[in-house]
Amino acid sequence: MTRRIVKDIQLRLKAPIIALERLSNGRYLPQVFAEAAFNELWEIQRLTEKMIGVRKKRKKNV
Amino acid sequence: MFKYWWQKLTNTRKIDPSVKILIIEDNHVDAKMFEKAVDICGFTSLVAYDGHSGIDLAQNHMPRLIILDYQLPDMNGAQVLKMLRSKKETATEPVMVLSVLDNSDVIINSFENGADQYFKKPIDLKTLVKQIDLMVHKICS
Repeated sequence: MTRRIVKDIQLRLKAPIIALERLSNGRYLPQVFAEAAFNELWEIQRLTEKMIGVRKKRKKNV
Repeated sequence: MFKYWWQKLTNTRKIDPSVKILIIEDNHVDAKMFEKAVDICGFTSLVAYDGHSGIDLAQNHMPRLIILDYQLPDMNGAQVLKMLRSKKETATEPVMVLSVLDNSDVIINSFENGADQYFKKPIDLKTLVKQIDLMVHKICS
């Protein structure tokens, strides 16, 4: 479960990183892509929280 | 109103037919509309109706901007973008992706493969003309 979430987070990090790279290179970043990158960050946050929740549950069970 | 706007636009714009815009679109009606937009901007349009011929045209003519439909009969927009970016001649060409699909996967896929702009279809002529002009004059320069 945790491994799958980590893989998902890794995939979702791609878009925000590309957005930051474009901005740092002084390239134009359309709003639609900026919004998509932000959405990916929200999703990463949600997945991270979910993962932490999973780990806490596991600790409780042990 | 449209006539007035069109006249105003063509009077103020520097017409440069040497600037080539490549349209990769399988729908003939949409392709004609994009051609009209390119024509209003004063540029020359090249049209391809599938991905492979679009890539060939891009390599041979070095267009200043590529207008790409995401759903093509032989491949999807992300695959076309990947192939364009892998070739030396077209690695940095600006690409505007247009699609009827509005889900985030398509937008992110286009973005990750190097698209410079994304629009959902249908797009009106006025917006398209503005965007072509913006991409050719501001982003590309």
